[in-house]
Amino acid sequence: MGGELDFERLVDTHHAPLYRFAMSLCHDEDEASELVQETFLTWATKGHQLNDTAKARSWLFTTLHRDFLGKRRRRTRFPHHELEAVATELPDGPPISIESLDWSAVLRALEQVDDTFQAPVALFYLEDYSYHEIAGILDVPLGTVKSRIARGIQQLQRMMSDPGPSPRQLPNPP
Amino acid sequence: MTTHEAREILLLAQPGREDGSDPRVAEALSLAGRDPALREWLERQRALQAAARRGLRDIPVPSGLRDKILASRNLVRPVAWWRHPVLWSAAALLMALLGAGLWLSDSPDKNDLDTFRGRMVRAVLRQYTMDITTNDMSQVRAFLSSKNAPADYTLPEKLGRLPVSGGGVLSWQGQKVSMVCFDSLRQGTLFLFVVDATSVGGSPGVSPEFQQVNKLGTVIWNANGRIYVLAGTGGQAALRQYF
Repeated sequence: MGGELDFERLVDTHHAPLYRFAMSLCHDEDEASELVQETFLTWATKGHQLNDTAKARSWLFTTLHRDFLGKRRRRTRFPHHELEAVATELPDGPPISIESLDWSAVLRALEQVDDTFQAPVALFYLEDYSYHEIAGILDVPLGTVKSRIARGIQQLQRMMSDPGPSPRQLPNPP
Repeated sequence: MTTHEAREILLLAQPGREDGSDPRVAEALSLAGRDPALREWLERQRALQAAARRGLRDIPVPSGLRDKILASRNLVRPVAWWRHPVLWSAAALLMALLGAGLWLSDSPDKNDLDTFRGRMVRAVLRQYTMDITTNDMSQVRAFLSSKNAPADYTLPEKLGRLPVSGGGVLSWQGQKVSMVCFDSLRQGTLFLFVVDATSVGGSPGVSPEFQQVNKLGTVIWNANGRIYVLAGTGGQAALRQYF
């Protein structure tokens, strides 16, 4: 993409992945929709100032994540985990019926993962971002991103293997 | 390389990318080829990774979301345009034309409520500029007061909980009209206009009156000698939540 971005084209291209990322963060259909709308509104007022429009996708994900954190008022102090400390907890992988896992089951499992790990894990699976790109979007060091993804995957797989009760009712598909 | 180290490396190998181009990944994959237990673990890992990836990418997107985004953008005006000096002359010309248009379209004797409400809505839809952009309501009040515009407005409790984004001053029948902008997640920007009640012919009730005007939902009410108009997208129903 180059030059002036067409807003409608931008929305067509990115609103769905942004919504899925938002759902991965807040697990609420209304709140996710609001986050996505707010992100595009921010683009409409500020995004056009972006010199390199090829970076629009990263800008949108970064802005949405920042807005999400702002709304949560940074209630959680994100801990830093070195990868070495994670190594002993890597999952062995109990036998499960993976075929039975649909999007709502995966989302329920992700909801039970520590808040700190949800965003990097979601970006890891949703988009074909490199670790460097994920680190840029989340504004954390590369090593921290890797350790969070490792821990997040570990927790997610445990939850997918043994989902347990859902703490929140998920919306029905439209 | 130990089995444990291989697991650690393979766990972080990105889905579909563990093609052996990274020597450490290649070594871990080679070890998995020779170690049945590690191979079995890797196969489960790949299945779980694929399920997680597929599940998140299958999250259904609300069918109306795209249109909501496009509709809400129609009310957004960049507030930083004045940072481009070359636009000053064009803006001045535009304002002059708008002023002339407003003057011609509404004769001075039309000062009733409907005209006032319509004028405020048009001001939003055509072009508005926040004279002050801030998240601090006290700064907005101070600015409006410095311009001799109504600054002693009282807000409905729920409306007062919204974050303010700025404000400005408009003119109506020779009187200053205060404009206060709020950020609403659901509706984008909400616009509150406050004017001295004596400048408007007729007076709304103390209870809020809802009316759709052009593309905007509006609410009008009267309190302490001031007339208030709240305008925003989302229709009347969306505005009722603030009262």
